[in-house]
Amino acid sequence: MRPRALRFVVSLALLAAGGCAIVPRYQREAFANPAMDSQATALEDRSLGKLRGSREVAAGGDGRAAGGGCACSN
Amino acid sequence: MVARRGAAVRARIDRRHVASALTLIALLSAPALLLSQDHMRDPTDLSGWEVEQMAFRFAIFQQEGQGLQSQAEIDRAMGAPIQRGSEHAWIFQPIVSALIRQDRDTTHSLTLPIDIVTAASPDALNPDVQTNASRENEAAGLDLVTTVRDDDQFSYQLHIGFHFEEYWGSGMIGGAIIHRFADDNATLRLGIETIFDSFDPIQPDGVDPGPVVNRLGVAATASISQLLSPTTIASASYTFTAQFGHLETTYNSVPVEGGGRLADRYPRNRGRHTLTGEIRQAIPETDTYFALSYRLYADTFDAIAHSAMLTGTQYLGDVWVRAHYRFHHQDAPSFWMASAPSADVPEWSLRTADSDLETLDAHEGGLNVRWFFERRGALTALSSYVQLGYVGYVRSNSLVMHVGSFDFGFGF
Repeated sequence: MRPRALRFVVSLALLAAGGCAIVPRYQREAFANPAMDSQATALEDRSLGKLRGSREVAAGGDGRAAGGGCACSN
Repeated sequence: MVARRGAAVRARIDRRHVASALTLIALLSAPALLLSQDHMRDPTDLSGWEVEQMAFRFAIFQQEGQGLQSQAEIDRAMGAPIQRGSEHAWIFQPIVSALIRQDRDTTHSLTLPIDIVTAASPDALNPDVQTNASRENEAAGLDLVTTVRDDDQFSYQLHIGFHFEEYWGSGMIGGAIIHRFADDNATLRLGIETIFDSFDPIQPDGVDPGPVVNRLGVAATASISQLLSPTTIASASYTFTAQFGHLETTYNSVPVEGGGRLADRYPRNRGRHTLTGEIRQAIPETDTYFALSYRLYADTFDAIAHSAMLTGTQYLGDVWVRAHYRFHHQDAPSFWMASAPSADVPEWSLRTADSDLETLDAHEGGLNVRWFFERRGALTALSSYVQLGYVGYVRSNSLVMHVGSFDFGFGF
């Protein structure tokens, strides 16, 4: 790994580690809101994921089938 | 003349599929509507089988564009200049899902996606004698994810899935271990998925020489999420996918300078790396939420892609207004070409002119409005809602797509 890339990764890790404060359970109300919970948009994410996956080279890296009615298989 | 006849056929097919899709919506919605008559139960009672939520989505995709791999509506005469064929397509996509609780520790998530596609590109295969998929293509799938909570720290997931098209079948099986630690502030997930595809090797001339060809994919994923504050959560994920077998779309072709077509030819294996990161931020004072994500993709075809997306959600009482913008840039695989200089090339020489794999930028914007019409206490992902949405998708190589959608979710 090149030195600049390594410094970037280490900086990100330190930044993330610095933010790892324990949040007590009674302060986690915000995370139950549908806007913060990916389960609330699961079908929409699946549908748009297929749109992107069948029209871009970066498809398939998410462990799903590459087919899907688009008659394509990127 | 050819284009006018094509347009008339498309219009007739499109009207028929709208009717089919609407009938399908009614049939798929029936279970949710019937179950909704008996949804007043004690929410603390987690014993026995219970449907916790049913969700339904219907989306219509309308696509226009031109691609070198398509032979639709082009001049096939010898010596004709290299042209991009039509990528016109309509896709009608109903999806139904149910979240079913077996007992206090076990849940099942069942998803049934269906696609009804009319696409100009496969429609142009000539002669069209081998497959109905070249006129229209119906696809259906089934996904079942069972999650078992072992204790406060560990859960286990099993995923089984099937996917069927007229000339294509897929089976998936996978599993994952989920570990919660630091008093549930962090979650680590390790998963593996195996995907097996089997399909007819339809050639650019429309002929299926048989027998069926196969493809195997194995994907391993490691992901972690971490609470950073009472209003901030960050997550990161890495997936490696190894694929083996027939990886190309067998009827896609490369135009040859001077006339003619060569079938796409890919390597017989590929390694794919994806690295994603996301941060979600709540602003409770104004009931506003943001999510920012980035995805890096690289594979052994030398394709590289960067995708970034920003989503903003603003609540107005029991209604959210959500907008997103996504930018995607990709560099083509090393063997992508706009045309082949000659038809006299070795059978094994790698080639593709697929516009989906070309070096390009893509811009996507969306807006949706969701009304939560029933809730128990605070809003959650299981609250009942209806949603209307629109997404526009534009690629720098001339493809444009419009998506209209209707979503309905009912929490029991």
